[in-house]
Amino acid sequence: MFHATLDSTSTWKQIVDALATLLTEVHFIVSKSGIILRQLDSSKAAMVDLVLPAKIFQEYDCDGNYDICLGVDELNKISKRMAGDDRLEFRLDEDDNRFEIKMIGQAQRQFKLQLLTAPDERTKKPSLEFDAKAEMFADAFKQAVKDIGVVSSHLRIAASGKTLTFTGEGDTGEAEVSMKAAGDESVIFHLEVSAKPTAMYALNYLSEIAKAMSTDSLTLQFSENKPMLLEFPIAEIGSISFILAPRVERDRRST
Amino acid sequence: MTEFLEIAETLDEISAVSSRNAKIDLAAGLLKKVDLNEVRSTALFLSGRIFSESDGRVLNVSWGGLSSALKQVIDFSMDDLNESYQGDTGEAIASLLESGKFARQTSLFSSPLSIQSLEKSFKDITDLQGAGSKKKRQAILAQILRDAAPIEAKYISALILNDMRIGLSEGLLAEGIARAFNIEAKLVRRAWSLCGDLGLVADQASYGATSALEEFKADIFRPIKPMLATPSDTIEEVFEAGGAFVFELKLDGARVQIHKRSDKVAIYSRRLQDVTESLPDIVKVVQNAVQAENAILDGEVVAVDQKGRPFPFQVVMKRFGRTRDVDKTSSEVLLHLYVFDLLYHENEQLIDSPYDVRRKALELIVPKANLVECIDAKRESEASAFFERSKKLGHEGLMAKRVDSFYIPGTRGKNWFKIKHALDTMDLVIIAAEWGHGRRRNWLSDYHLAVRDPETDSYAMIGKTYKGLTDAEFKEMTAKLESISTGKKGPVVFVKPEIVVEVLAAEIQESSTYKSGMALRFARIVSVRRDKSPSDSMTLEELKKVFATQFEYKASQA
Repeated sequence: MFHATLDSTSTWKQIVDALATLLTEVHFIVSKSGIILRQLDSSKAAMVDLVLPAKIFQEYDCDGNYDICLGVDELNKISKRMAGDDRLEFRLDEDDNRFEIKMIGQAQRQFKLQLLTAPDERTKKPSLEFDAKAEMFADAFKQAVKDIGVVSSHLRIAASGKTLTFTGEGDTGEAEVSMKAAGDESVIFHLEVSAKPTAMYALNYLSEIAKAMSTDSLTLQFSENKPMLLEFPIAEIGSISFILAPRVERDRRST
Repeated sequence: MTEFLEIAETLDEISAVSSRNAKIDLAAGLLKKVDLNEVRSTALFLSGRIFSESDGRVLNVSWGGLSSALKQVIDFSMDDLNESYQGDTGEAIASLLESGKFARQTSLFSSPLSIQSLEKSFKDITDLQGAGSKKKRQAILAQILRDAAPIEAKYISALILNDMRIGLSEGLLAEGIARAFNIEAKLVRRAWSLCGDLGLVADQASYGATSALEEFKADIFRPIKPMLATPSDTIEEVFEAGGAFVFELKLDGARVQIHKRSDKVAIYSRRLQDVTESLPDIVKVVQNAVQAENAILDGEVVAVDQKGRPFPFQVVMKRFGRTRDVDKTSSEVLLHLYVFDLLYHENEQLIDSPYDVRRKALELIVPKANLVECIDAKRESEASAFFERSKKLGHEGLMAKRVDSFYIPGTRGKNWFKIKHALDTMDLVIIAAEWGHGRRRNWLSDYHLAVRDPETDSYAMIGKTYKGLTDAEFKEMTAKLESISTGKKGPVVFVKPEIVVEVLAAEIQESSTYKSGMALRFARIVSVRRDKSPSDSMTLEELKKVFATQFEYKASQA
């Protein structure tokens, strides 16, 4: 049995928008402690990791572990129908193999979605260590991604001392955005750097993620030529993270 | 679980050896080595296919799609690609991936590609539909290319683009299957012909039971590979082969296999494609004329003018495979159906019955107007007279069919012969050549043939051929061509117009492929004319004259 209510439609919409950037099917794993989702995109170069503790929800009852697999397109269409002040109610109908979403406002509206078959394997989280960690305004990051996107299809990030630099180069020219973690005016609230890491990532993922996220702040972590982690808070105690594999200059695969 | 690397390495070895026997051995060795549940895909991959001929699924990935997936993996430019392209796309992709020059997308989890993981990826691609499917297809392809070693990428690209060139024909692969599982090659070929799926045949054969293969049957709405004929130069040669023959008119049309179950009719092309939709008029003819509830018929569809005279082959092809404007073109190009064989009738398998039995059964259910004319010629003179008559009727020549022979699907044997009216040979000039593939890869073996245009003092291309030279001649020709090379573009090497070759072609067509407006069908080099200079070669005007005489007995659209 699974049943939960959520007072904020904007939280739910934000989650669905974020998932839709990388996935075509979403696979929620629901348990007593809350809802998690961890999936790779089809190219296995990016991962999304969602954690929604039970406490985010106003009511939350779950007596076991359930796989809830749904099509992103369908989920998206339903979220678009939600009014700002609706209260949401979720329920798993095990008998009919349906996921129910109720919108309770001036009218009570109910949608039932057919569950898809869940994949056999659950995705493991790669073990990651980071040389740089920046907490910053989400908007500053968004603007940087857009700036680099003007000339390039990749974004290189470098961290050194108190500076975070984004650069890009393409056939038409180069772009550079740098930010200092100093003073109250800075867009970076906090920057921890060991060594001087630089790494490059494909912009197609970053642009979509940046477009979809509507939080005020984010945490960005990366290491030299290693994956990057972007973490956004959801309703204070929850989070959604994206992990992106880098592009590296030389063929580093061991043969 | 077998890694795809093993398949790729075997494909590479097969491509490197030249003897048929060695190729068969390598294929057989691989089929024996893989797990039982991998045999089916292994056989398909060896044949250069992802899905079998009879499978309706296709991957639908173009070169453009593959190259944008590759761009997600490495940052290369079109210039980089052109530089590494030596005539083989798979090889070019492999060499780009192998080069350390480009920044490369890494993955969060990479694992070696296996037969099963590829099967799954390919299936996922065909399952995609609706919004976002293009993006997801690219992502899946990018993942495959990223996890692939260069040699794997080479052969995966060949599979995806349907461009495998390792010199392992499906016929050789059938022998490989037979050798791997110790089964008679004849039985493997028969099963393949009946189901059109070497993967399935290999899978069945891998269980080691011949009975599983014997159970393959002709079935309505499952196309069978058509039986083929061996070319013979003269009627005399056929009689020398010995035995009793029936001679049929050889029509210049398109081969069709017709399946009928009460009013439902399906028509398949020579290559087992379903062309029913393009031929509604033929469907009607079958419904009205064929007096059988269940039947599989073999025949030919010919384009005819109002007087019933046949048009050349090209005209028929305007109708084949067309799904748009079917009604309009069916009224413009009239088609006539002629059948000559019956493979299945009511509940009886006829492919294992002799020709004369099949023909008799056929004559009982098809009206004379739709039967290919034939004579039971006891003497050579009768056959020769019939051969002359076939020319006057505007047909291609004769077929000779052994009276006591079975219908052996998909094979070219000593039971059916074709004797064609030939055009005179033409002296043409080689103006360019392309590097060959497989065992011919070290030779310039594909020649661009041209006629002379005295008005502009230039040469006009009318066709290509890679047929007719011996290995020694290819080698010699390659050296000669390289010495007179004037430059190259992609795989094409341009040469000074110096070499004259004597060429035989089945037909001359009007065509927009070449600027000359003319094209040869089935050209073959008969000899290299060192005694002739380019000024002795055929002119465009002369070629057009020969083209016109083809219509002495045939219908013309002009």
